[in-house]
Amino acid sequence: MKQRIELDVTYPHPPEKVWKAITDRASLAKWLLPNDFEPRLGHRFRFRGNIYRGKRRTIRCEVVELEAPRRLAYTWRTDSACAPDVVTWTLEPVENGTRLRLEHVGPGDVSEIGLRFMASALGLSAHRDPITLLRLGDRSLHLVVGQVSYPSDNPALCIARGRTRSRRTARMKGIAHV
Amino acid sequence: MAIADPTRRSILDLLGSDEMSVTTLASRFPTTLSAISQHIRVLREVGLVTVRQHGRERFYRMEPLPLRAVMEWVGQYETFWNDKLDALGTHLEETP
Repeated sequence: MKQRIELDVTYPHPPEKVWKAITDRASLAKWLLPNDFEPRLGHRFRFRGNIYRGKRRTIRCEVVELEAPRRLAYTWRTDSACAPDVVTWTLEPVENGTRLRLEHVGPGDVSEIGLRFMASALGLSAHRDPITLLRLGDRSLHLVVGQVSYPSDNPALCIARGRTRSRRTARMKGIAHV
Repeated sequence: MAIADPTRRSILDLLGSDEMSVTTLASRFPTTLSAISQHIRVLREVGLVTVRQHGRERFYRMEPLPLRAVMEWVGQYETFWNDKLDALGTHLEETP
């Protein structure tokens, strides 16, 4: 079962401008990380810099989807021993701006069978409230079945942030699930 | 797998806030110690509860260890991407 982070932001700028910001090497270096990206299917490139804990890393990537000005996806590999993550950008024109969705799918670490056993042991079904399993800071991890976004009988993990932040006109909500 | 029992959710709630011995836990429910022991066994089997031995006593708490790693992965990337999407917003403001 894959780990996945989804972020959803609307910017008051036209889609072509946002597309350029996510596909132009110099722009990316300014707001994301130094890189040698090129908007070409199959292009292999790198990002270099800090992701967390101040450790400088090299992230190896390959462009796997490219549909200007709507969709861009590339693999994202921090450790050559593991299968790569996939990062997907989706742009959608909305009134007075662009809705940007970012999805980062990580290594498939969580045993689905394990989750089924947990859900079953707790009598979890679509009609019951999610069960909180863990809290870290302002985030909590819940075990859920059959939520609107994940309409199936398979149990899923859902991480909810305790607060949403809004900066200027951008509104961010992070919903992460496995 | 035994049929699920709403008692287990309650046990998990209690063990989520504090660690407890089986006797303390059992005192909170109108059921036998043996039944509570059985529920704890199931919760341990599915990886939701861990035990700490202290002398002759055993203390149980909710600790889904494999899920902690998942939580940390999500935590670090969510922070990273939230910061970067902020920076993208600033970049867009500053670019004609």
